[in-house]
Amino acid sequence: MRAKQGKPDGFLLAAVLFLTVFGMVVLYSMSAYNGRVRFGDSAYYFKKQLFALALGLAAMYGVSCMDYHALLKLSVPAYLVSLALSGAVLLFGDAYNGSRRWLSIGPLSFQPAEYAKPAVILLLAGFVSRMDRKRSGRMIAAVMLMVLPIVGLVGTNNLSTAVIILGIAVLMIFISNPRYLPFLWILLAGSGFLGIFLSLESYRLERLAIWRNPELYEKGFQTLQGLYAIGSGGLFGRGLGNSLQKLGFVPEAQNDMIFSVICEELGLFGALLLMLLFLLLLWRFMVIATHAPDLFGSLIAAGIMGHIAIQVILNIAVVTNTIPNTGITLPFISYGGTSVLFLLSEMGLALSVSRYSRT
Amino acid sequence: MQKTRPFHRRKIVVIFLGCMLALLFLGGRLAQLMIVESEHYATLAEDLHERERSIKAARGRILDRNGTVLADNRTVCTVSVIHSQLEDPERVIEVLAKELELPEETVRKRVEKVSSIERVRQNVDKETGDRIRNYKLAGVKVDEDYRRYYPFGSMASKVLGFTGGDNQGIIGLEVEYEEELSGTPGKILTLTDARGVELADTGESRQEPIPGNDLVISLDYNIQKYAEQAAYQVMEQKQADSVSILIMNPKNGEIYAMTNVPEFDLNDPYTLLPQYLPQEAAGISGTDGVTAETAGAQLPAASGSTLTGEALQDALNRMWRNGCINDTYEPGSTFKIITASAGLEAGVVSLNDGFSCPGFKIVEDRRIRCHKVGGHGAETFVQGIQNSCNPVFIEVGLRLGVDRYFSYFDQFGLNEKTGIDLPGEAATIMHKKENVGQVELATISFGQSFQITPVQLAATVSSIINGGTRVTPHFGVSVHAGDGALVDVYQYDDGKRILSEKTSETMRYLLEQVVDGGSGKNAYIEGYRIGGKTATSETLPRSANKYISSFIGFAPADDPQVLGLCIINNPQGVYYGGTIAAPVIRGMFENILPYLGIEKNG
Repeated sequence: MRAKQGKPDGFLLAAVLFLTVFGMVVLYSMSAYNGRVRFGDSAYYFKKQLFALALGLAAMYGVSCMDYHALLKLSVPAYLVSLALSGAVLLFGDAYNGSRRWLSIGPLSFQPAEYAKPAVILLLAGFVSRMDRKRSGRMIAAVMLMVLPIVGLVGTNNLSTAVIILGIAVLMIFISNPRYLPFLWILLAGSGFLGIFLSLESYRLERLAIWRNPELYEKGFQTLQGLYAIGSGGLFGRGLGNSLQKLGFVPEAQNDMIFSVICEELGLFGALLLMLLFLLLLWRFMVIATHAPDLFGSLIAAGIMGHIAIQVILNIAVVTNTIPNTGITLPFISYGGTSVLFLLSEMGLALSVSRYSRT
Repeated sequence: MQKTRPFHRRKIVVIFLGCMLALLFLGGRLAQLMIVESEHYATLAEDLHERERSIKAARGRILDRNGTVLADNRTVCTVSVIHSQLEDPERVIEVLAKELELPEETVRKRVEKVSSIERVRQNVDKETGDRIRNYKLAGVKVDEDYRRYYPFGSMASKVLGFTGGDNQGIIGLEVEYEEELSGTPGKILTLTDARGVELADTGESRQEPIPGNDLVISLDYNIQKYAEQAAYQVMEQKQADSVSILIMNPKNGEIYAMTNVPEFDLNDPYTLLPQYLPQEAAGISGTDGVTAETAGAQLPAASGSTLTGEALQDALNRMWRNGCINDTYEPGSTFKIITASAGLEAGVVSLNDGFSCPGFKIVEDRRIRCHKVGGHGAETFVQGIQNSCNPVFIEVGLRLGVDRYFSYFDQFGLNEKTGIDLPGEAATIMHKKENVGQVELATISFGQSFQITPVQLAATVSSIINGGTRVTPHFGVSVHAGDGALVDVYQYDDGKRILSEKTSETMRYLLEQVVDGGSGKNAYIEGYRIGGKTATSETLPRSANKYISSFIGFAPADDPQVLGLCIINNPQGVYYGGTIAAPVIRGMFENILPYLGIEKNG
């Protein structure tokens, strides 16, 4: 019962385009100072991001025109490619700020970890939708085993992204299984594991201590500067472009901490509007996922929803010092070419799914 | 391929709802940070962004009674480098080393130091600062600043005082009138980025400094200059440790001159004069400074530069002391003025009372000697004071008795400080009344066994001869704004009456007799009526054979308009006050009486 082919979700498209434009405006504002200071060009980051955005929009359009079912066969090879790339980055990658995360091809550099996220979504969507549903009990373990290699590879130098990938996997398995209780155990086991993991290394415990009292630690500098930025925003902010904290106080204002500077410039209202926009995006993913003609489509849309949700929630939680600091970017807004390219590709994927409706 | 089943959809919705809850929670957290804690973080952030640069206020000037500027301000520059704005550090180092006359290494260290702003040199001449500014070097900042400047160098150094690095008064009038002189510093508030670079487009809020007020003091430049010359002259002649001269108006307490030589250079107050080197280094003669042999053994240089820490500070403090106010001494015979006044006021003695001096007086079991070993023989009270005869004054003191003597001591204001407008006035060191027997009373009567400050003596004698009202010795006269407008005139209340008009008149007569034909005859000037009293006292311990010679005089004797006190510490050779101190005051009066418009009477 293949559903008839329709138009892509206009609401989602509008929201994504709005977010990207908003993201570019904000990025220019946040990065102008760092660009000027480091490269003598206020638009340095903006231009690089604009190039990635153009590529991303092209990819989004291309993917949205495809029949997503064609990707079913590609899901396993795509995953293998992501494993290969993540392996390669460990061997040949370039390091910035002490992390080996980038693969360079000529003037272009590329972050395999960003590619791994849609690859895992596709892999799991394909695997789960083809599985015998009577044996879904054992499936949980099987899926976990499948994603562990990529989680391990990515996790060696980018723990945050590994956690996101793991999170996406858990959410997708949660959807595929009718029961709730096992996931409660997974949640509890996960927290227990996390606790042991954290207490094994003293530097991880230190991170917890910094979280409690950022002003007491030198390494709490970034967190504290973010809080200064948020706090000085007030209700309506200083106005776009008027942040003082981005002038070198918040380190790398265009990256993970960008939301704090948005708060400073646009105030509580601007920040809440942005959060609402993300929520609208998630709502559209939910609508697409629940209206998809088959489980593969549903799981793709749900996986994308999980991906965006995890990153937005964790990013804002970190910036507001609600959880300990870990480097997670804000989708569509933070600086990062690979990220925006694959995010937009995922949007294309979601749009493609939205063209097929079950009614 | 599986179909999407209802439980799949349910779970998708569950995840969405979960996300919505999480975002709601974070929205709440955000609201808490941005509304409830907003002020807290915003204040912290502001502290981080704002740089406050203070602009020094010009300190008010100090002018003498005729408007001569005694303490002024000079524009100087502070040269600093802002590390992050440097473009050509090598050139900056080269230029600054050359212009500031600093070793290249020193400049290099400061220029290359990674700090938001580093001071290279302070108190640079304005011309040098302008030259450096003209190089237009990126990252070099030349800020203009004020520095205290004393046009006459060491003149009245211990009275005026000097200021420290922040233009705050350290000693003297500079401290006493700090509030009037200092003004209110201004502020420049600027916003900066994390490197400390000021943001051009945010503007700066500027609060202009309010300059301090000018202080007009009663000191007279010419009288002060003459007093210092006279003091230096007698110090050299008599190889004395120090000489103090105080000239004041006995009617209203205005001080015309106050010097304690050696004076130090107010523009260079931390360089020790050789006289103030510690005793062991100063050699035996003490007055020539350091002799080569003794100095070589212990301290190589006479400048005191080798002294360190506490020793240096002690020596500087000694150099800065205003002997007229900060130190007490045994007044000796000049104090007989007080004993005489008390005796006359109480009626226990009259001018023609007869006394007899065999050269000593027995008090209880003590034989107290007169300075004239052979004795003055039979004499009247007038002759007694002319001769400065100890037994006469012992007799007057004993006639008064301890109770009355102490009550006059108190009535004349000797137990209180004079209230002079200089910091650190020393209090009188006097016996406790219950410990004073006849012997002690006898010694007090001719000015021994207790100590007062020179300014106390001058103020008390002024009060005795001016008709009998206590004056407050002072410098401060009025305060003017920078544009000359009068801000305030200091009022010194007419002091209380301490002596009857009549006794005051008698005292003027008596003291004129001392100069006319007595021990003070060396203060006599043809054509002027001068009153005065000499003193020669031995310092403690008596065995050291060190003396203090002094003379206190006033003119005209019938209507005193000026009073002078000269104290010579440890003179060598002849040490009688009448011989060496009285001529100093005569020299002063010869010059200042015509200067003050006091005519000779035919």
